[in-house]
Amino acid sequence: MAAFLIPSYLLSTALYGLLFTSIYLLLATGLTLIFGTLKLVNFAHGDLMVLGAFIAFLFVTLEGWSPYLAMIPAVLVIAGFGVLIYRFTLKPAARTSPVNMILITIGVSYVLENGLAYYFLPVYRTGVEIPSPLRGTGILLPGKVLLTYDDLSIILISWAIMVALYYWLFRTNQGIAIRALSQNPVGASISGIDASRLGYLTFIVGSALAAIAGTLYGIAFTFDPFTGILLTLMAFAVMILGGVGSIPGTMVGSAIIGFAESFISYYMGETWGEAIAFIILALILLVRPSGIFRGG
Amino acid sequence: MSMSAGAGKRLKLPGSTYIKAIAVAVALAIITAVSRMWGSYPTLIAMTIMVFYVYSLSWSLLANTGMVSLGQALFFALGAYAYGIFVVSYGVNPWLALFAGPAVGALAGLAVGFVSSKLRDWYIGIFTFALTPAGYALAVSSQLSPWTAGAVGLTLPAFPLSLGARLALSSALAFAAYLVILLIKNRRIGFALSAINDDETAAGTIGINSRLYKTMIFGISGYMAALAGAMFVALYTSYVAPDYFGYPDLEYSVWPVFYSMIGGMGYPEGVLIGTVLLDPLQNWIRSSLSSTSVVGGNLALVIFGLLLIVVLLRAPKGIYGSVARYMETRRARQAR
Repeated sequence: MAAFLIPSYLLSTALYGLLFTSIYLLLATGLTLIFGTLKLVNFAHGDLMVLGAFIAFLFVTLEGWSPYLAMIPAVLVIAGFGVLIYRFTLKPAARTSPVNMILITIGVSYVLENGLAYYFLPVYRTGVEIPSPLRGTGILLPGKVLLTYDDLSIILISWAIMVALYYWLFRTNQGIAIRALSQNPVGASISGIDASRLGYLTFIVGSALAAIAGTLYGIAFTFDPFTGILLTLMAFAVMILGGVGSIPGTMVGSAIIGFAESFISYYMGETWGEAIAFIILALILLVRPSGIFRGG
Repeated sequence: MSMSAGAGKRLKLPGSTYIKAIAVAVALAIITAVSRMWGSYPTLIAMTIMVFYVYSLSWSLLANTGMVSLGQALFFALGAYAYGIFVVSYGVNPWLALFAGPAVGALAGLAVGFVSSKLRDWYIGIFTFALTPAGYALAVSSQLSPWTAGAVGLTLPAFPLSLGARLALSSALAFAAYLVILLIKNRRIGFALSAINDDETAAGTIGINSRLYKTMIFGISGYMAALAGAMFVALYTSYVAPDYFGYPDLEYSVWPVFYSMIGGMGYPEGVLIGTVLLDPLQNWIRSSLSSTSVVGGNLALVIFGLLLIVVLLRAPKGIYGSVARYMETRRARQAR
């Protein structure tokens, strides 16, 4: 039997696909929330994620926290960072041209990445992974495929957060106000919605999602200061594929990108696995620039 | 350095294209002569100025039409690889390869432009950005490694010219690139592009085919960026590496953005000022910090990133635009 048809390989590759899907989902949802509501294109999103992963890493290695607990300080710090970035760069830039705004977020991304590298590289040299006490333990699936408790909790946490976010956006007044703001900013302001306050809130939630995604990514995979670019691109690929501003679209998009990445990585090598997302992105822009689900 | 900044101030007053062109030629000649007399290290720095001037012009040509390319390094690297493969694998004459290699960049530019012309502002940024990992993947892939030498990179034979002659050649090419920008600006295509940039729908109603012009300008920009890449490897490094694709480190895609935006994106003379000021500065910061720490280069990039943010927020038209505006207000005040 050809190697690529062995059921246990298929199963473990599919598990990786599910893992990628869950993490990209959180990341791209943050991005699409910020873009949909504030019309801000944030190229530093993936770098916020890596910074979050690194903060969690420090709490785990230096303070001996559990990685899942270390997510909390990571979320707090990144949410704070997000507010600072929004207040001092993106908000003033939104009044100038879209070209300037894109370039400013590129500048922010560059500062974050190289600032992190300046601190990180002399100490750690290569990429790091957040050490987890659960490492190596797990449920043995048929075909001797190990589903580690870490992978399982990453998948469960991501989807639990997505459910909570969905509830927040569609069932609470705050969430409904944010959706109103994304559909019609002027109309929302007229009906008494405080656009400035909700703008901050959206950015905080988006950055917090990035920090959670970062911590989970750091538990499952190695990362280094420059992983952020790749993750930003992945998030954009997912967002555009699904349809900008659409959460169901983001789910479908992250599944397509996540599974494509894991299967292509397995059969053609990791470089192509990373590139496939962008090849899909280029194709979708060529054929249907509004994505699968036409979003806001 | 100070010469060109001074020239920038003076040449705004008459506002004539010819005077600007002469000032740019004089500035390039002075940079060439001074660095050549100074020594061989300044000569090399001057060469990178010329290469990055061509490269930054190719980026700002697109940006002035409202198309922000975040993957300009794709064309840069394609030009570098085309030159390297032509010379090493096929034994093409280096002179021929220097000018024919960038044709690959022009073709890629036309293809990318054909897709981009249909996309709205920031989608173009994402699209071009997303092409660079694919370029990198191709360069390091095992299927193409007989030509590209994979991750190791391609070592090239020396270009058949002395150091001084190589600098003279690169400054001549830089001036040629500047003239091309001027020509485009003052021709039908330039007017069409500025109309498209102001209001694409209105431009369409008066019969301007925006898709055609945008695709063409991408092709021209692709050739210029690829020429810069070919000049870089042929005249300066003699080595082609996969990271010229601006991936995994963005570096090669963001330098033209830094130089153009800080210098003054809308003005080819401003781009020259940006390149002349910032390129030696980044080389200097990098070399002086690298001696103390392995991550000195990263600190240099943090400084440049902050500089870019401040310029974009405080003076979106860059150094040249701000100086020009200051001169104009002063003249207006004196006239009154």
